[in-house]
Amino acid sequence: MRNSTNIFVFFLVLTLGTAVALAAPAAEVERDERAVVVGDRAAPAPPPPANEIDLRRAMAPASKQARLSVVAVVRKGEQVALGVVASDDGYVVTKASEIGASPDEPVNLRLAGGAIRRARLVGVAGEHDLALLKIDGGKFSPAQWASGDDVPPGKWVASVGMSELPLAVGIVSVGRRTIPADAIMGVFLADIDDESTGGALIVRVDPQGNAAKAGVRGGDIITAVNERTIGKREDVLTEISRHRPGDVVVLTMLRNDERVTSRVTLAKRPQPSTRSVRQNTMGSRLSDRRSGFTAVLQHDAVNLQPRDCGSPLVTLAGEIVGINIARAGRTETFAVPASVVVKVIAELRQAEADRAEADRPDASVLSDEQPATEKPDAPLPEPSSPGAEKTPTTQPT
Amino acid sequence: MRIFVFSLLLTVSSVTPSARAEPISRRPVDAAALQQVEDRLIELLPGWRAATVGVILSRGGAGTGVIIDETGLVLTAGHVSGEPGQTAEVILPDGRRLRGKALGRNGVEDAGMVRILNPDGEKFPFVNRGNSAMLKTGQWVAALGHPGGWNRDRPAVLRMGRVIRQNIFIQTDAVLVGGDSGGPLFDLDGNLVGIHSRIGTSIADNRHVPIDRFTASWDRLAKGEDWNPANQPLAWARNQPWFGVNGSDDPAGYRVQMVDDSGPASLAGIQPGDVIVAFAGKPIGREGTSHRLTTLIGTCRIGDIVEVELLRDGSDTLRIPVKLGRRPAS
Repeated sequence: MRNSTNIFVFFLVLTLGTAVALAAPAAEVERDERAVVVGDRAAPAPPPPANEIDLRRAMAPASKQARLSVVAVVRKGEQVALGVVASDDGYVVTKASEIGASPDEPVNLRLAGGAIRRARLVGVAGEHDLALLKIDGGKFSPAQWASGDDVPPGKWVASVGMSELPLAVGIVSVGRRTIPADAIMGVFLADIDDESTGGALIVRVDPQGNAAKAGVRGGDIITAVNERTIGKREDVLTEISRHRPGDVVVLTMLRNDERVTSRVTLAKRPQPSTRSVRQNTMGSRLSDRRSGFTAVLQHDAVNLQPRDCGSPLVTLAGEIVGINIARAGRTETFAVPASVVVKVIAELRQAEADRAEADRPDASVLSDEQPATEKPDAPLPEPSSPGAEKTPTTQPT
Repeated sequence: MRIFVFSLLLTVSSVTPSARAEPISRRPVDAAALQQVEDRLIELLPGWRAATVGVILSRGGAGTGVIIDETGLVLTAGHVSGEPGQTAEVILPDGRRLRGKALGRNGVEDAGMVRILNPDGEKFPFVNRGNSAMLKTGQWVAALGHPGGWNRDRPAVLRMGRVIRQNIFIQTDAVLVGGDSGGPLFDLDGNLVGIHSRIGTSIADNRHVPIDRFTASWDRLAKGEDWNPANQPLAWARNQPWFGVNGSDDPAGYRVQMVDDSGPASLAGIQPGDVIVAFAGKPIGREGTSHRLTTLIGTCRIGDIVEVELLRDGSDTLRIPVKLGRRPAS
C-alpha cells in the first residue's frame, strides 16, 4: 500500500501547489474541486441548517418597526435593491450602483403596503455608494436611526426586508473601517510618528506604478489629496476610495521641507487570484460594487443577495444601526453605519436645498443684462451608471 | 451607550455560574438566548483577538494561527505550517512580525504547530484548549481568522455558527474562506475547540480540525514530527470512485508509474509503464493528462465498469475494462 497513492493524490498536491504559488493559502478547497468535476454526482452538500429559520424568527420582533420603513427599488418589475424611508415626507436612502437612477430617470419604489410610487434622484454619495431618492407627496413611516457609537463586533444584526421574518441574521464581525477602492496610486503608506504635523508618509513607491510615473518618491509626506488635508494614513485611503481607476488625483506633498504637487492617474488594483475569486463566490452571489467605501461595518449574514442591499440592519433591541451596502465575499457583508447614513442624508438634502436656492430667480444675484434662464445650473449629481462598475462622483460639502 | 454595555458585562459575570450549569449554547434560540450569546461574545472577543495571529511560512503557505501558551506556541492547520523546520513569520494583532519555526504536521488530520522563537522571553496572550469531544450538534461556536490574508486595517474577523455534524472534521456554518486556514474555533466558554481547515461549495460546509486531534498527538507535533503526509487519501475520497494508479503526463497520454496492488487498475491488468490514451470512451489528450484523467474518473460512480484504452511497449492499442472501486480505509 505504500505505493498505492493514486491519482487523487496528485490532484490535492496540485491544489496545494497552487496555494503556495499564489501565497494565498488557506482553507483548502476540497469539496468544490470535486463538485466541479462530478457535477450533480458530488457528495451532496449538506443543506443550510434548517434551524437558520429559528434565528430569523428570534429576530422578527426586533425587526418589526424597521420593516415599516423598507421599500423595494423596482426596475422592469424586478427588485434591484431595497431602501429605507428616511423622512415622513418621502426621502429614501438606497444603494446607488444597483438602481440605475439618474436625475432624468426616476425609479419606481414598491412600498410596504404594496403600492408603487415614482421617486426622483436627489443625489448620490459615491464614496458610500448611497443614493437619496424622493417620493413627492404623501406621508411615510421614517426609520429611527440609532444614535451614538457604532454597533460593536459580537452584536447580532438582522437584515430587514419587507416580510415578517428578516432576510438574514448575522453577527457584527468587524467594527467600522475603510474599504479601499479598486483604484490605487502605487504607494505604500504609514502614519507619521509626530502627530502634530499630520500627513501620511510614503514608505515605498511601486517602481512600476502610476505614482512613480508622476514623480512621487519614497519619503514624501502627503499633506493633501485634491486639496483636502490629510491628517493620517487612513485619510488618504478615504480620499482615494472616492475615485475610480482612470481618475486623476492631485497630491500635495512635503519633500525635504518643500511643498510639491503631483498629478497621479489612478490605476486598477490587481485582481485577486482566480482561486480567491472562486472561493469567495462559492455559495454566494456578490455585489458588483463591493470595494471603495469610506466607512463600513462588516457582518457575517451571507444568506443575502446583492438585490437585498439597501436593507436596514437592526440589533436585538430593534435599533437601526446601518444599511447593507455590499455582499462582499463568502464570509462578509458590508453595511454603512447609521451615523454615516444620517450625515449623508443631511448633506445630500443640503446640496438639494442649495441648488434650489441657486435656481431661484433672485434679482439680487443677477446682473440686469443676464436673464435668469441663462444662468448656469448648479451642477447636478453625475448620473449613476446602470453597469454599477462606475459610481457617480460625490458632492462633497 | 458605553454605560449600557458596561452594565451588561457586569450582569454577564454575575450570571456566569448558572449559565455554566446549563450551557447557553444549547438552549433553544429565542431573543433571550441570543442576548446571552451576544453578551458572552462581547466579553470574550478581546481575549480571542489578542491571541489570533497571522502565519506566513518561508516555503509557501500563509493563513491564521492561535497562540496556545504564554511562551508563544501557535496552533494552525497542517497545510499552513507545512514542512517542519521551515522559517515562519507570526504577525501579532498589533502588527509586529515575529520570527518563528514550523514544528510538527499531521498531514491527513491537517494539524500543524508553529513556535514563535521569542528570544526575549516575552509573555504572549493565549487561549485555553477545550474539549472537542464534548461538542454537540447545534451548539454555538465562534470562528476567528484572517479571511483573504492578514490585513493591517482589519482585526481578526468574527463569525458565528453552529455545529452541523462531526466526523473527522467538525462541520459548522461559521463561514470561512481562503486565509482563515489555521484560525481558531471557540465554544462559548471561551475555549479553543477547533482549527479551520477547509471549505465546500455550500456556505454551510466549513470544516475545522477538532482540538482533540491536536491534544492526542501534542508531543509529536511539539517535537516537529511530520506524519501522514497530506497526499494520502482523505476520508471524503472514500466516497469517490477509485482507479488506483499514480503517474505523470506523457507526450502520448497519461503514463502509469505505479499501480496499487489491490486497486481496480491492477486487478484489470494495467501495469506500470502503460500509457493511457482514453478513459471511458473519452480521449485523455496530450497536455494536462493527469488532471484530465482525474476529471474523467470523477464523472463516474463507484462500481462503474469503464473501458481504458492504453499503449503498452509499442504493442497495439489495448482496451481493458476496469471496474471502479472504493478506496480502502487505510
